[in-house]
Amino acid sequence: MTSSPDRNERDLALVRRFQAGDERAFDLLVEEHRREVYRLAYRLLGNHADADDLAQEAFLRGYRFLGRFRGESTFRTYLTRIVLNLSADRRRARSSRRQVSLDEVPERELPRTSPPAGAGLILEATLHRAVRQLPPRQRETLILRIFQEMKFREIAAVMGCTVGTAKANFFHALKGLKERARV
Amino acid sequence: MKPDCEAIRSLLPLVLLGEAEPLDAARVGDHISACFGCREESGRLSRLLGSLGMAGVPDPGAGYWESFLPRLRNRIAMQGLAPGPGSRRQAWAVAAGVSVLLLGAAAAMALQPSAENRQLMALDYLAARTDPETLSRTLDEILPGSDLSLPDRSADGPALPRPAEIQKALDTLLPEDDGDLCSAANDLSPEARRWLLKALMLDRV
Repeated sequence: MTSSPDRNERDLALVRRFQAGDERAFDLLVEEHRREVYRLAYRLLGNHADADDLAQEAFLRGYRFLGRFRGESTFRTYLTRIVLNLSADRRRARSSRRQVSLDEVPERELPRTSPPAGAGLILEATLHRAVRQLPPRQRETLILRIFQEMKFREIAAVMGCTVGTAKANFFHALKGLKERARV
Repeated sequence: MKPDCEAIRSLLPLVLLGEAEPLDAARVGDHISACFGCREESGRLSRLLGSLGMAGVPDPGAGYWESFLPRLRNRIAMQGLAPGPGSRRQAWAVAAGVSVLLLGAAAAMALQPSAENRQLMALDYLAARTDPETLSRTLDEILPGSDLSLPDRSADGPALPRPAEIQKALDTLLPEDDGDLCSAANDLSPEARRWLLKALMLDRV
């Protein structure tokens, strides 16, 4: 789902209503963004249970801090940043508990969509594993660009880096994928 | 590979994603029509991007989406979060928190550390909540040319950033902490908390 000026304005109007005390406005924001937040969380974490928990946590944080949202970025950017930060927190917590090889991720936790129909397309499981093996910043950049369909300037805003760094992360991610998936 | 191929290949992803400048796109188009190697590379990359785009996330179903908001509302209620940060309840909580902090700051006047110490405390606060790589990269980007990647306590170390720059780094690295600095600072010792708050408030008051 891409960001459009209309959608951003609608979001901002809802944020303003919420800041003025209209609780229903927050519900509308959740309904508008829950699918996108869940999908992003799923791509970052790789399974439904964690994705659900992170999506709920992201909106909880949004609820707590939306009063201070000044509208300098879009609500979508704000929310995406929260998801990435929560995901990074979990990654750090997990790596401090024990080191898990990404290859240990059970196959049953991989997306269960149909294999690509087109001839010559790369096996989804191979790609999925290759994406999970990328360094975090590269993986996040790739996910935001390909799946969230964010432009590089939006990615830069979300990740707190320059557009050039976002592009560089993306190029390195593609290079890493090509090597890992042997494309 | 021709001398120009490397530059062309670095532009290929942007062209395929439709984010290249028109001149770059034209340059790439001209090149790959004449260069077999880059045409092959363009095909491989296109296939990779196409495969990535098809990798979906399984939909958890209508029941899940229907329960999403009620479960969230339940968690909000269970955690006793204030209903709408603009509300009177929240305003009173903020006012009370600020009063306590001001009293604490006044009591700490006699123990005032140097400005440098305050800034180091603020940097320590950031460092404690951010992985070193991210912190280093963000500070490099926010403070270009400062040569400061991590808090450096050595006497010969680079100049410390100004409080406004620390605040900017804080906003960038910990956006979800915005507005909740006081509760986040509770993890620090009382003395450290006073230093941090003073360092961050220098440009605000």
